Amino acid sequence: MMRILVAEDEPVMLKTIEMRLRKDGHEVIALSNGRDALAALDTESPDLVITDIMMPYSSGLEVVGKVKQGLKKIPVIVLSSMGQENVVLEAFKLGADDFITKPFSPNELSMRVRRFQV
Amino acid sequence: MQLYLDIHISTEYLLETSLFFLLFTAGLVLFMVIYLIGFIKRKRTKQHLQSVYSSFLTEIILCDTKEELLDVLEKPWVQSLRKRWFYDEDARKLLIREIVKACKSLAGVASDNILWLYGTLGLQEDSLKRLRSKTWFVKARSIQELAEMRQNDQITKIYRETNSRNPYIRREAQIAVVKMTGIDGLRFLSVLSHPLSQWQQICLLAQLPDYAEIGTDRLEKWMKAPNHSVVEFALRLLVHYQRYDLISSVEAFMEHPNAAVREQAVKTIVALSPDTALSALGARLPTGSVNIKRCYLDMHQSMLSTDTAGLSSLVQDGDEDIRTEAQRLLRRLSPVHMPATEHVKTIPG
Repeated sequence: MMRILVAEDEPVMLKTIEMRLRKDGHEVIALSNGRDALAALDTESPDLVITDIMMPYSSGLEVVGKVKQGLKKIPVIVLSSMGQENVVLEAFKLGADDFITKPFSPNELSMRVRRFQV
Repeated sequence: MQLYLDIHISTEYLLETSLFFLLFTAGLVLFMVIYLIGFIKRKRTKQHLQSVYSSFLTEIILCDTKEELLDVLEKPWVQSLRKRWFYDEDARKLLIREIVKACKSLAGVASDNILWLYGTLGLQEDSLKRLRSKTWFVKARSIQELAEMRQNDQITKIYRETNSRNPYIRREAQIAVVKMTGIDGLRFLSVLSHPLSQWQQICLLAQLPDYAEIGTDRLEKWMKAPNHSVVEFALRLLVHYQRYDLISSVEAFMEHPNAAVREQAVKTIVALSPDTALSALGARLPTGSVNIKRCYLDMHQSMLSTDTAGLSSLVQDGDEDIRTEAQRLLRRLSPVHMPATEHVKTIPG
């Protein structure tokens, strides 16, 4: 079981990811914007971060940057839309570990998460 | 001459006027308060519905079998929602919006579940009703909904709008038919009488599959279309589908009367056949536009061709940037040209 921080501004997607991961037995901290995600990184100490790129207040790239600046090595999965290849590359430069392009299947996300399970 | 202002206002008249304005202001304030209360109520209802829909759609998305989907619909709280959808059109409209939004981000079984829900609840009837609307944005949105929900049996109704007078309806309809039927959806190009904007061309290309068989006769027909934007788009299609076999016919478009077509022809040749491009551009240098000359210099630089004839003709060009770039390239390629180009610096721009 992992403690996963999910940041996604689309309510249905956020809830879907949250429920899917809970079904898999993970503990989920679901947040709907980048600012809350940045704040939660200081207090929640997650084992994995899943973040959308385009979010209000702070972007997913800022979240990736902050995670990778920390001492603890936390893997990050980036959620991106079609045509955001440049942003995904930017996320990888910042240290992102994996990415999923929307549209995606929640089952696919579940499989990707499993790869990061110790 | 002296002007006298002799106005007599009775107290009764003053009172009546004051009372009228007082009542008018009170009425206005009352209307504003009622409107505001209604607005807040509608906003709260919308927020509440969005939150309920979010839970409902999540349950639907995460179902793995048809039985599970039916079970969700039988839940008491979903039953009360279904009763509401029966009479509340706004609630259905909001549900369609949420469904379309979710469908854009989902794939696989999750997406199939959403499509199943849209069909089972008969929401396509709402979209079709709005498709008949006279308001352009209502119509455009309904086209988007039907395309996203893959209502392919409605293609004829949407296809009619691909040549609509309204650019927004036209745009949505064109994207919808390509999204629903792929390459075949492009048949509207044969009858399109309105211009296809650059952005629309890019949007259409984004909807097209990366690999597909596109008939040579269709491409040639579009390349001869009286609508210049269709010709431009056909040239873009050649690049998209790497149609090397048609490259020989593209050269003629470099002399096309329409500037956008000429520019696209150059880009197409450069993308598909750089070797041919350099000679084709070189032949057009004496009469070519600044764009052709710039393109020639760019190609020369990337290919490092040893053919300096074209460059030599450009060192005396009227455009200073082109002159300078041609000199720079000549120096790099052949130092013997250096003395020959020294005098060019003095040529006025």
